[in-house]
Amino acid sequence: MKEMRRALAVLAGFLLLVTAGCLTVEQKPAEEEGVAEAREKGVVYVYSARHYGQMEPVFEEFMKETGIEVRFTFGKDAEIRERLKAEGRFTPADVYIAVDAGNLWLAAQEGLLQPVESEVLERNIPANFRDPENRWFGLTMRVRTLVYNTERVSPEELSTYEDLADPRWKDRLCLRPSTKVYTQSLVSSLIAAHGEDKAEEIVRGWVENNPRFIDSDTRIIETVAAGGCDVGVVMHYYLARLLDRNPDLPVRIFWANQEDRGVHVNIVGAGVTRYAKNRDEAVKLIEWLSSEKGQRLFADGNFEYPINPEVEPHPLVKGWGEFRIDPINVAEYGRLQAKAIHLMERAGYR
Amino acid sequence: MKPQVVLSGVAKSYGETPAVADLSLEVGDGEVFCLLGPSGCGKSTTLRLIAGLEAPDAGSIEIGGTPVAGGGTWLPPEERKVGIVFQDYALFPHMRVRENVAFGLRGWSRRDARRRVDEVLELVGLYGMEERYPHELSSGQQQRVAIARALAPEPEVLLLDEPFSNLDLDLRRRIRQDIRRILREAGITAIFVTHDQEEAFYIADRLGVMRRGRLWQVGTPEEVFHTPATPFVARFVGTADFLRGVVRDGRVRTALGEFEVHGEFPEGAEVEVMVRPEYIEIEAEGAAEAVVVERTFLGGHYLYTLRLLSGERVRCLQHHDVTLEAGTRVRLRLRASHTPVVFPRSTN
Amino acid sequence: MLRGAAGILPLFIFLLVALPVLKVLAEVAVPSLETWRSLGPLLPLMLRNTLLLLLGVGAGSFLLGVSLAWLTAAYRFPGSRYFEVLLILPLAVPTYVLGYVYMATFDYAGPFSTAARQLLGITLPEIRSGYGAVAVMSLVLYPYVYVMARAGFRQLSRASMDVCRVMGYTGLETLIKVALPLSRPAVAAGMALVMMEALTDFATVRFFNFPTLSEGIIRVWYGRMNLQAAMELAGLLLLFALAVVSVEHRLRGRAQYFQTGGGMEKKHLRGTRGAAAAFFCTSVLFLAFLLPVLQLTLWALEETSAPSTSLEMYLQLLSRSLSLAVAAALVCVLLATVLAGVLQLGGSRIMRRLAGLSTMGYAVPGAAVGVGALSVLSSFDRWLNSLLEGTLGFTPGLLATGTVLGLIYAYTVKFMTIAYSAVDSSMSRITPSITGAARSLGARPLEVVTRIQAPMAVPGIAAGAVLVFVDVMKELPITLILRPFGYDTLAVWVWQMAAESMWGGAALPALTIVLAGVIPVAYIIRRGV
Repeated sequence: MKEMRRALAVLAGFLLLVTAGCLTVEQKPAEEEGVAEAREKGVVYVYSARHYGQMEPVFEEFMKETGIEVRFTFGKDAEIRERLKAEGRFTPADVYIAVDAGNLWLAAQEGLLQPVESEVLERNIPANFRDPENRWFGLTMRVRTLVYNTERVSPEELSTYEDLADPRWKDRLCLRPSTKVYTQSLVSSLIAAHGEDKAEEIVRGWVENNPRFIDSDTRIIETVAAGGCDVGVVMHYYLARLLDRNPDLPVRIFWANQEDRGVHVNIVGAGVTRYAKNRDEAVKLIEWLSSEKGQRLFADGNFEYPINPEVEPHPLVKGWGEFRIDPINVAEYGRLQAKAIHLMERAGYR
Repeated sequence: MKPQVVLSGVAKSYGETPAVADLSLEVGDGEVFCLLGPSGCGKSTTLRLIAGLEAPDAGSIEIGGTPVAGGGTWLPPEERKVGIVFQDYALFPHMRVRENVAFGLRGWSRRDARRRVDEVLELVGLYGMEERYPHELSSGQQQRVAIARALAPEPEVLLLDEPFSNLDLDLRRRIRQDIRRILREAGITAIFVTHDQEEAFYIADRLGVMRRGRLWQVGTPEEVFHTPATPFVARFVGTADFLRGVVRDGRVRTALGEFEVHGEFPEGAEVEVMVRPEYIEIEAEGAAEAVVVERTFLGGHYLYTLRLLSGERVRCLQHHDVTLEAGTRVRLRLRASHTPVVFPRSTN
Repeated sequence: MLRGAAGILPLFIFLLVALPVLKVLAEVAVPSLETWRSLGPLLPLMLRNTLLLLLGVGAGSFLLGVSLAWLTAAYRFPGSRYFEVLLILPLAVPTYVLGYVYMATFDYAGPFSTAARQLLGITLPEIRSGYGAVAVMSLVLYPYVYVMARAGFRQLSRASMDVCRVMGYTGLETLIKVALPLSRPAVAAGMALVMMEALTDFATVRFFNFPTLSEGIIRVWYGRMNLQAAMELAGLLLLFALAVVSVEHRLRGRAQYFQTGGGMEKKHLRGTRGAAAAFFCTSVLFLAFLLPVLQLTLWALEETSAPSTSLEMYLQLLSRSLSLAVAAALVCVLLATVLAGVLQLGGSRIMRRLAGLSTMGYAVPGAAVGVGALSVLSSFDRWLNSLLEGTLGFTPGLLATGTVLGLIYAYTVKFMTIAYSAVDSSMSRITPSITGAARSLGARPLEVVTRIQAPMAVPGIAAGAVLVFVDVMKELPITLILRPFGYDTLAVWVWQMAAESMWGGAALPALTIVLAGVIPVAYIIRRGV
């Protein structure tokens, strides 16, 4: 009997909890209602693949300046595109913010974005960092390049991504697995520069050097620092973050391919969704993000390079000096992504 | 007869409860010895002490002249040359009969082991059953597998723990014969434990009666039956009634008459006299008068319960052709061949 | 005997639960070679790795589980009484949580490897490898074998053990020759559970660069949104699961070894041998439970200064996880109760068979359940939308795939088994004569369920609910595949944060999951190890 009463108490507790749970689930329709009702006040709904924690201060500032409210949901790029496809014309989203040009290209390809004619954007954003048909626009630059352990490697030994296939780098490399879109875009850039066969040869060279595959740029840098490998390939801002916290870290950046096409650059970018209900506000948000103020907040929080040439980068990364950028249109990374994935699978790149 | 198993002053307790206390015993070579006692008397513990499954708290144990426990020595079970048969047989259900029997034949060559298995299976009469699994055998057969397994490594002593309690009555009788034959043929020293005196009488050369961890009497079945050392032994082994008596001039007077007393009793001592139903005759010339209280039919015999003039009751075994109704007055006397056993009168 | 709605219920529940699995099975029946080819060299690699993982984790958990069970069942040594119970604790740590902690502490840049290099001059083997994955999973999955093997050893009769002693068998020989063969069915059941968990895991193998079929499903679905390829892989994964189940059945055999029990007499291990036994148990406990819990606590405390997961975020994740788990638990026990109740009332053989099939979800790896359910639900969504658009001129949107409903449905498919076995075991106490009496007094079938059977079954129902609750709390692959857009839960958060090397951000959510996992462990302990 006592056990029965206890069991009943547990059940009652469950019921309470589930009621609470239902309440949290219920919030969703309320949000969507808000979209319609706030149309006069100005609202824009964002699907963002950029990390949680990096976007909120930017949106807050935008709201303060323009009075337009930003609502947002975070997700992975593939997830967001799938969502936009499934929702079709009923999507609440006005803006899609993606973390890799490949993703933006795919979204445009799948007809999820609409073209935007904006003088502001054309002025602020260099042509190779936006869609030739103006369906998406780069907002910040991320440089995927080499980092090295200062005690084991001198910068003179380093030159290009292609050089990492040289046998002298055997057992000395840290690379990111092929599941990460960053790696896919880097390999896409190799395909664009050398053609598929040559690119596969290079990737095979990397694999033959028996690299350590680590699925985290931060951990790659830490492993380089610990001597687990001598050279790694990472996004520049991960190093900036770590150096910001610990300037004594024995790892430095090296701009790859400065003698030829330039270093591999990718973007965070945005586009207006095809069925955006708040198109004007959406354009306004992207324009503001490309402006001096927007760029400052959007880029500096994460040590990324502003896309707008007029805007100075954060002092820490500015100190790393000027560098030559691969002039290719980043849209190519999207176009070549599937090829890059299969190439890596063939080459045994994990 | 040289002793094969010797226990001297062995004691073992679990926590506060003594299971075996100050137990001394000698079992001769080739002897079949039985430890008889009610459940919880410590007889199984004694068996486990001999096997080396338990270590004694005090005292010492010798097997075949070799000290195996006590006095700083300790021989593990496998070095004592004992075999043990458990109450539930403890056959391994995942092994065939052959594998079960060969279980203890480690270090034997394959051929020798095979021969030995055949040999013991032959001995227990299970030849041809080698490939069966235990669950495919009857419980009697299972028991014989257990015995074969214990005998296979050629132990010097075989220990059997309540070997018949899992068998039904009819089977039990038949198996008992088998076992006696097997034990004799094997010429092995055997110690077994039971709570059934009929069983003990049937198989044992000698037996020891245990109670509360102590050995109360050791002797041949006849000795124990006819001259029990204590009233408990008298009651536990067979049926016994006790009559009050007083010692006068080297004789004891009871309601059943006067008998000679063996043993040292002072003049006027109050005693108890044990009489078994087998000892009493109904006879017109009998010394004592009694009334039939109850008649119980036992098949070949009647067991009569009779009230003496003193009010004491005795039981008496009569052939089935003596039929008396309750209330009949009769006269009784003790069979001449029996001298009754006399105990000091206990307070309880 | 059964009329109307009550008779159809089992069939309905069966269809509901079996549909995703059947859909995945259909993919195996009609394999799309083109899809396989598109997976390229990855497919043979994933097949190989899945097999190696199964064998490796199977062997690892077997060795750990059986040796620890034997040690604590047959011997007494310092602390053995506590180890008996504590050694179940690692069950509370999901594989991906231990994987993430090990990745952070044992990889080259991790504190343990760094210390080993600097203090001892040893380079620890690479944790990001198949070996790492096998080690990590064995460490947290061995308790399944441990618990089952102990149950088996406890069934052994004392006399069997004594025979071994008299015959001079050592402890190890007794284990191998007698104790283990006699406990085979129990150990096999434990091993099967271990292997199912190993098949379900995708996160640990992803952390350790050891792509398996489960990892592949997440890779092609989550990375490329290629449902077709994911379904094909799920089909192959299901074949592995079926192989595990059938091997277990074979190992279990028909032989029911009934032993009287009574337990073993424990042998005292003294001196160095006792110390070695205690050291072994402590090491396992440390590596599988104390280390991760301490490390997570440490990270969580460090996080308080500069949180990468804000408290609000954490509370939101927690409330989502809790409400999902509660909702799934309720649905599972509700269906389980109805199913068990209707069958108690007297169901045909076919119905019983169906009930058995309805509860096979647990053997199906999470990722396969996820894509199977997704495929079923998106068909449902399309059907519903076109139906309503045609009749009412309105579309409800993605009712199943876009909301938590789909997620709860998939959880039900996977975890019904747990609820059903718990509910059924307590409902079997409700004898036919009790239900018969109720029926003869005029109660209709459904009334018998609600007024007689359900109240009597409450303890079992509560137990079932708790078990489902905890499993959902730590569930990862299904959640990842089916959660509504942007709907992060504790488990998803741990995975994402850990994948980004944000150890601190994952710490508190991971600790929460471990804490929830301690609940069923406590339940097992209370029922006797």
